[in-house]
Amino acid sequence: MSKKIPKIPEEAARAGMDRRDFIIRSVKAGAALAAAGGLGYFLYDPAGPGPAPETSSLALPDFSIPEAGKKIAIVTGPDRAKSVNSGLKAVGGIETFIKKGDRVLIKVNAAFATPPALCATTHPEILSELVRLCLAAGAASVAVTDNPINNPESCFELSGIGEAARSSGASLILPKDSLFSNLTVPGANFIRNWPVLLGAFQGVTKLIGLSPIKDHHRSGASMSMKNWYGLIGGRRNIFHQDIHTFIRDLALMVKPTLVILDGTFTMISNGPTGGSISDLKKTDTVIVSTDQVAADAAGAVLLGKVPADLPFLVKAEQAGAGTTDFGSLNPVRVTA
Amino acid sequence: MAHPGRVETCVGLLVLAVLAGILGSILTVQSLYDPALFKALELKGNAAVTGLIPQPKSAGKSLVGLAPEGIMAAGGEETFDAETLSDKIDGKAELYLSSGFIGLTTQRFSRAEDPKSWFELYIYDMGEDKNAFSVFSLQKRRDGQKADLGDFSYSTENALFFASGSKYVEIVAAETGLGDQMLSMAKKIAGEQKPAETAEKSEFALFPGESLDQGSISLHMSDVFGFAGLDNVYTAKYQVGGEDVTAFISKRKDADESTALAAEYGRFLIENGATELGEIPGAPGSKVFKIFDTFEAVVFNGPFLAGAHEVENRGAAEEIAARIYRKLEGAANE
Repeated sequence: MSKKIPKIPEEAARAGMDRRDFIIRSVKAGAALAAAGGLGYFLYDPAGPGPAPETSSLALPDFSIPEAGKKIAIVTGPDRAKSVNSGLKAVGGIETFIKKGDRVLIKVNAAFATPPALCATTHPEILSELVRLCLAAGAASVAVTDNPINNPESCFELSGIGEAARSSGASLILPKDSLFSNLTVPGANFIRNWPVLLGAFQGVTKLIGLSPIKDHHRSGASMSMKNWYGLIGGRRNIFHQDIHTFIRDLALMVKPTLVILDGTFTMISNGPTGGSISDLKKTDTVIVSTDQVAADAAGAVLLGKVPADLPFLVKAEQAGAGTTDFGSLNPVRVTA
Repeated sequence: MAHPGRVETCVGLLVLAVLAGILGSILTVQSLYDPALFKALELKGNAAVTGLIPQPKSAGKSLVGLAPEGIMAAGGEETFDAETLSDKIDGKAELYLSSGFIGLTTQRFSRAEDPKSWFELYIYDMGEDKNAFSVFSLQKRRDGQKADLGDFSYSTENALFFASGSKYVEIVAAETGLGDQMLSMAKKIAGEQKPAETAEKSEFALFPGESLDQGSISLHMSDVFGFAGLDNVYTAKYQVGGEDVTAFISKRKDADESTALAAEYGRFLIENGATELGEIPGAPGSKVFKIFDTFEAVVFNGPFLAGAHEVENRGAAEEIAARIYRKLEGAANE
């Protein structure tokens, strides 16, 4: 039986290629294909891309003053300027918190381009007085910031916050891309490699949260802890899916020097935007505290709620961010 | 071995150049990888945000054309879709998104002679009339005065709110005193809508009239009373013996569905700590539950599921539920 010798292809023969060349080339091509396939298999990651490794060394400083202790003052009165004055005196005086040369950052709620009368944003009157007090206490500078996603310039101007800041001697820090850096908060569920307005904290030595007290359709209330939402960048609206856990994360992220809640008028319905003056209730209260959880628990009373109605309060307390039992801090109650 | 020809060399180099281009593109895309975006998509997936997102329709005519004499645009027109709505209204976006929201168009206007005297117009495209009524009713201010814009409208000290066709409209002023201009603009908007359907009104008639607060009727589109299985529920307030009672009615596909839903809702209540107390006299199949310090009455009749929700007094809850049951008897037989 004779063996049938395979013929080389006609094209190869025409190119002057003999059988030996053809086999060598075929082996080389096969080896190249096998090497490419092998490399692809070696580099294949079946899990796909995960979040980038959490190697960030960035963190927000702790702005609290442990020696000042846990304090809370609940001031009754219709005049915001007088109330914030009285509240600060009741927790030890502004000098306890702001020292000569301090660089103060005030985080306001400037979330909406709405007028001050709707109380959906920090009221310019209380902001002006707070800036004045900080500067009088010797602060080297006072800056005011927030990250309203939609048109920050309009939000600061129409809310009256921009003019209040400028006229009282504070600077405005408007959000821009270069001010955001990715941050991971230890123990947080969601703030992991997420953009945060860290650039606003450059050189800052003291941090004060200044926010209104509002009903909130999703979280039940918007007060001190929810106010830190405005430091977050990116598509942050997705966190509304689990808003209570996210507010707990915010409370873990920020350790303020003080928080101040303006409940002179409280938005008791249709929050957080409101829209009608009839969404407001005159409650004549300002709360000043070194414990943001306690402040929010006290603020909840103005909304007719208790901590059990607001899961974020309970979660923040469990995470060690403060106490919902504000009565245990022996609140100083004063009338302005 | 024969050397490759010139054409072959050129083709080979071209292939290598294309491969180098592909490699460069891959490396570029990899270098722009945004973990925040990846995390966002991951969270969305977990939240079961699926399906196509309705796109907002173009606002069509410019809103500037709606401005009455003496009023001018004080800013550009802005539009928001389901993805961006929260950029404008933050946490309240969920209220609209759960009610069929499609798009929002806004613009600020001011007095021509005084730019500081301004108002903002919000036109929410809710896709369907009942969706527009739902968001209107759920935000209704109790002290609002009826506006000259149909049944689903009211004004407050500084604002005007109304539902017209599939649109829900808010006009919010920075101060009082712009009511006439806002009403003029609102009438033009309402005039452009097709006449409102009367479906809502026929549902209203299912509530017994005695001691009913007619203005309190609201439509809840989803996750009603915290129960994911309950949607399209009308609620209304009653006064019984000086006590506020919230009644509810939901028309289902047929009697089988209403019966099954009543049972599911009962199970949901029990899973959340309720205890079953018994049946309401004269309403076969009904159940009364005690949940914490309140009472829940659940009845069904034909395609209707109904009852009373979170009532402090058991007698009041049973009385309203029984009244609704009797009223539904006629409707169920129609």
